[in-house]
Amino acid sequence: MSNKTPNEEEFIKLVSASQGIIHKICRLYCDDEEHRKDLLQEILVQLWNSFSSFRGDSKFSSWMYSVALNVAIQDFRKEKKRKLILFESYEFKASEPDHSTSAENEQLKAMYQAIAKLDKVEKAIILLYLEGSSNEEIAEIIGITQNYVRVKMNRIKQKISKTVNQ
Amino acid sequence: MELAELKSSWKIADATSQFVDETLISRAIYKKPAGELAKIKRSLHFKFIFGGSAALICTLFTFLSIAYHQKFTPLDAHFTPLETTLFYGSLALSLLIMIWFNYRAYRQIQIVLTQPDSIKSTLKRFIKSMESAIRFNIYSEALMSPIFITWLYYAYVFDNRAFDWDVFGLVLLLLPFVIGATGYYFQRYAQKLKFGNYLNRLKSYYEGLDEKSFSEKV
Repeated sequence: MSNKTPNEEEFIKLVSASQGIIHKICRLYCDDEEHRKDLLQEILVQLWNSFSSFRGDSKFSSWMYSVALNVAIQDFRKEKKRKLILFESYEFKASEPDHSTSAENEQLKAMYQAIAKLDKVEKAIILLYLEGSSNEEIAEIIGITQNYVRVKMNRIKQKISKTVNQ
Repeated sequence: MELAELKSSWKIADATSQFVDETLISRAIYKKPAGELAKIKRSLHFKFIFGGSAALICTLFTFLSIAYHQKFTPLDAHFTPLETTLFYGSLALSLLIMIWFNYRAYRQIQIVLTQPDSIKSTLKRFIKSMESAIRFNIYSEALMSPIFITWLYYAYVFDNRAFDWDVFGLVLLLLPFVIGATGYYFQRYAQKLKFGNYLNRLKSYYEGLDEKSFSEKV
């Protein structure tokens, strides 16, 4: 018999269904596997600790983006080796078989290299854009005006073009 | 690479994401958070319990030393009954002030950690909470150390002699200011060393989201 509270069960179901968001954020903000696992752990804890503040007046995914991106932006990786707390002994299960070809891998590599040059807030904006969020949604999650989202997107575009042309 | 190309690459990344199962999520959520603010919160919590207990004992001893003036003299080897009351009273007062600032910093952090908002607004609250906690660490050092060390000096030097305006008397008057200033600057340096870079980075992110400062730069 499960000893989870109804609140916890609901939380786990919601997070499990939208966990792709967290993985994409971790992939975008971390350079190595160890850091990615640490950030994933931190985001999950933060989502759970803030879950009582989710009132359902916005989409769960929007709320999840806010919390997870906040954690990723505030995350400060020290040079010293971090202790792996939980995921050390677990294997990640692939959601879908990996069909990526070497051409696709190259494309992905180029994409991550271009994004890596952006600062943490710019990464948040580009992630939301790539996920198909409207300017209105981006403005709401980031906390800036739609006009400023456009300004930021232009700067990001310039930065990415510059990186590729280098 | 244009944004359209980036978007098509992103779709490939989507299919190669890795997932964790529900059991792992349910175990992960009860782990201690490892973020900087969560660590500061734990440290404030510890200081609150430790300082709160000390404040409670000092307050109780202050009242006992007033109510049972001649009978309650736990420090009679060094202090007169009046000095005992002043000793416990000054410690209790400074500890209570510290506890109040500690509580305020703790509350701010708790709100940031449990009530997420937009990235800009959370960054602003995050920076404010960290600055509050840093101020608490600096001021608690600048207030507590001089009071405690000055009393120790007084107990040691004036154990068998009355206060006089000689060198020892002047040292007694200057000591709290010297220790306070040293503690203040040392702690300010230590906090800057510990959180300075991190805080500056967060501030630069916040400024980047502030339209006014952006327009001024442009």
